[in-house]
Amino acid sequence: MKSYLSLIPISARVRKKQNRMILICITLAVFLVTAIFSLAEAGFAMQTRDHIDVAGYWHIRLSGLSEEEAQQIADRADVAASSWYGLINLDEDLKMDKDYYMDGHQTALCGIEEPFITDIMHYFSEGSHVTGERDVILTENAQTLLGVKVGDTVTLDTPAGSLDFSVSGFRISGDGRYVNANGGQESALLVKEDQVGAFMSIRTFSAICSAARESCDPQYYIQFKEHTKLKKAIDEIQAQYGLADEDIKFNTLLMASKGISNNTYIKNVYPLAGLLFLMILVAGVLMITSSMNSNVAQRMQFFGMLRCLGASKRQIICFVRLEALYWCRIAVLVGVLLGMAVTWGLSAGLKYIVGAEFAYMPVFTLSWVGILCGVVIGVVTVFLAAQAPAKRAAQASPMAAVSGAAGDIGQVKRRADTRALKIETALGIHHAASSKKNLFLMTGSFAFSIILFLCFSVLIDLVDCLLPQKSASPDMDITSVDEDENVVNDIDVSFADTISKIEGVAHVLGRRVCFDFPAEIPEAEDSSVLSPENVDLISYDDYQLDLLVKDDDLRKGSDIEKVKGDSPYVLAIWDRDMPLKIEDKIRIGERELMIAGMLKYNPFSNDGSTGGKMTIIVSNETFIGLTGITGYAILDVQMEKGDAGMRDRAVGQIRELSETEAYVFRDRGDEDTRKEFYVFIVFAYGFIAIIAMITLLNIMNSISMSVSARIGQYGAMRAVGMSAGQLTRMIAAEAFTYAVSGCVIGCTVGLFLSRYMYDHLITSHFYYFTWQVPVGQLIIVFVFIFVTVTAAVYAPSKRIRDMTVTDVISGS
Amino acid sequence: MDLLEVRSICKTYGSGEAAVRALKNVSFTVPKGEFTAVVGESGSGKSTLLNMLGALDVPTSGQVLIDGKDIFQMDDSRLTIFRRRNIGFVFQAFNLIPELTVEQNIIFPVLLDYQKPDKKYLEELLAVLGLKQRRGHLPNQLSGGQQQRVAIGRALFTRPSLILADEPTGNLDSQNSSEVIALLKETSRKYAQTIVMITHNRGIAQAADRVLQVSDGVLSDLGRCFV
Repeated sequence: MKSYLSLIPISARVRKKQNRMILICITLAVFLVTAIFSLAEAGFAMQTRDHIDVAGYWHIRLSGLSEEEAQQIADRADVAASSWYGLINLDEDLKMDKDYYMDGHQTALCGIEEPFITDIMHYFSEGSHVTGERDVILTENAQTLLGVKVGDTVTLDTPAGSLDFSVSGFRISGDGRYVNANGGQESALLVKEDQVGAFMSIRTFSAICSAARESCDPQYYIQFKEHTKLKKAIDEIQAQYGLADEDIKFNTLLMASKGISNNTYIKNVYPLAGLLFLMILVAGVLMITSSMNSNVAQRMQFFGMLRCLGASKRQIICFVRLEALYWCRIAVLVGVLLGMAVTWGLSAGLKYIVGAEFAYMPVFTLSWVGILCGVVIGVVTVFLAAQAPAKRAAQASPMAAVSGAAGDIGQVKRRADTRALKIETALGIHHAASSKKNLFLMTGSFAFSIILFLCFSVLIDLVDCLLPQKSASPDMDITSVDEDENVVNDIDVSFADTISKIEGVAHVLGRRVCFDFPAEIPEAEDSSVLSPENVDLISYDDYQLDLLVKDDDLRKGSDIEKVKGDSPYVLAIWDRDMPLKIEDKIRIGERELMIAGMLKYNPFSNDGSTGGKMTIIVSNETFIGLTGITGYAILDVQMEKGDAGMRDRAVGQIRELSETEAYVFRDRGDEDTRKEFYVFIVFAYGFIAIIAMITLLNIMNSISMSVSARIGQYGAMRAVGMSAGQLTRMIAAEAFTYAVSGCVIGCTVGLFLSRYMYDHLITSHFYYFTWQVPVGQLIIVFVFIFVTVTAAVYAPSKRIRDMTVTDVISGS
Repeated sequence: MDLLEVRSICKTYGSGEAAVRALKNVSFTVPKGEFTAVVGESGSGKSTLLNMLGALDVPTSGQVLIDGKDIFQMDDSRLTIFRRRNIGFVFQAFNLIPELTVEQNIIFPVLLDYQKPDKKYLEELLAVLGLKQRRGHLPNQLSGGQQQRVAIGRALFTRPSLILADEPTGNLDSQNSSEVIALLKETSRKYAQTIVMITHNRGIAQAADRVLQVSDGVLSDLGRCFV
């Protein structure tokens, strides 16, 4: 032995059993952080790569630049690539209302430069170019619609005349979809199946616009070089060219990965992510401190002995700290390896089992971020956690070693109150409350578990909003439209019957639609007064009405049963600016109808809002009675789950039947986000389960240590006449004190944070979702408390019951 | 009538060659109201004997009858209640509950029974024990002698049939030891308590009415005289 510190590894070898709990706690904390950060890094890398593939590799998009200014920006040393991008004849709703056609098909025009193809976007086929003035790259569907291939000539008809182009390539969507359900805002030139998109050189584009007297305001895409200080570069450009904030659009996900965002929503996420990380850190510190405290408490006689032999307080503090770091050697290594192994396992599972957008998930990669965070968290939390126990150990008096009265339960300062409570309950509560430090640590551990659970539940609600899992979601839809692309009720009922008989089809949900139907609705100031208002009228069949209940899409007080059949009851879509409420009366034609229920949000819009338009939902019979219309406007088709081959065959048949009738067919199978949703659920609840397990281990350890410290006292109590049941209740009272105090603080702070997060993450974006007290989660919390206390009490009380009283007194 | 009757108690620890016979066929009786001291060297088996008498441990064979009841025929819960109400313990290390005051420690067995304590008897006991001024104090605020008095008070409060004292003066100085022994004698006489006291100090054992000796697990009755 070189110094007294050489005692540390010897002590570790001898006290393997006693140190097990601390090693487990450190390992768990490190594993948790390593796995989370590694998975997050892999997930983010996957999302970024996927996003780059779909939306392009660019950082910002500028408006309001002149050619000269654009050239100056392109010449900057930190700009890797840049390109003009102009677009005409395609609005946000994918409507084309100008006279640009190729072979009779509506065409949107896009003016770009070569870097747009080679550097910025990744969805052009090999060899695509717009170097020549008459080169054109078409959207992939042009191969079928126009029957063209690379090298063929196409004629573009414009208001100013016709132009011939040579096809140099195609814009590959990769998945056969042309309309992204999320609007494809970041993806250039997505068109509908029967439309064509044409990319040409910006010079040709500008000439066409000029000839047709079109105003197009091209935007300028910029890709910065690697390692560029993005914020500084963007601020410089903005200042130099006097650009307003609205003139600069960020590639949201890519910029967010660099920590930069001008998106209020993303900005709300950063502090919340930081808050969650901090909470995990604190939970780890509490857990490890509690274990170390108990460990030190058991060894006060040993530390007293060291003081007896001449160790100074400083040396004892150093001993405890280094001992803690010694544990890190093994625990951090095991935690990191476990974290990486779990990350690889989960990544492989996501990639090969879930697939879909996780197909790009990297599997066997080393996440240095995850490893570093795990190591740092392990060492930092252990070092922080060791401070208080080290000081406590240094307080051990040399007399403790001599007398054997190690005082490891501390000096009692207050008596137990036996007036109002039974003796065993009073003693148990007093044991818990007597050590303020221990009470704080245990309460903190419980509270943090509860807070994290309530906060994560909000994240799950958020994902549910972003990836709603609705029973009514169709696998495909068929719409009938007129020449002007307006929805019309032309789908015959017999067509719906035909579709429903196809093998693999589970349900066919038909809707009839009448826009701007004249009605009279109550005024906002006086609901008894009706005033004229055009409403959108939509029919739902009974199955669809039941799905509203199943999906919990109805506001409180709604009664679906009243709406079914030819009834005078209807549903309305709620909006915060709408005057309608349940039991209001409206008039459509001669019929007086009553609102029997309200939908929480508009299922027909991307953001759930009504956009100021009132929508009334009625049964099929009521709709036909009001309008006389029998044909459907839209059919939603739901397939049976399981057989992919059967699904593909059914899709082909339905597509063919739809196209025969000139209906618009849309396969929405790729919009199925169930797998991603459940992956997130598993991840979130898995994380919460680990936190809960840490709390459970913590309290089990703490109670076990507390019982061990008081074992002699318990023996004396048994000798004097305390029954085994009373002893168990005393230990349970101690455990419940920790649990209840943790529960009170955890629920109070957790509910506050839950509401804060909900308001900022969900209500700010989906205003129709408002926070409500999460009763279900609170019940889970209470059940968790009960299970934890039971588990914590069971082993120690059984241990004492199985010992003779003399053994308990002697503590053996 | 004999309050305590011990019949052929044996206690063996371990088995085979490592077996240790702590008590070998110990039999004796103690009449009601007698103050009996059990002496013996360290490791002789006297504490083991006391543990058997208080049902704190289970004998390998034999019987212990207290007031005619075979205590080892009772199940754990009945035995616990019997011990609470009929046996008082005084330990060498006092073993007071540190969170309870003097008064609470004394009435502790009654609290375990969820009963209200006899206040008059409590006042009397506090006076006899000289603890009236200390009734609200915690054990860590008392001297060793005072703590042992509290332990005696706790042992007496339920008016048990039998008081078992295991080296009650072991942690006390000579003056406190004398006071505690005097107290035990006084309460034995005053409340007609039967006391069995373990001690290795033959001088202290002289205060008892009768002395038993345990040597290598074998008990012999020394009467009032001892060698």
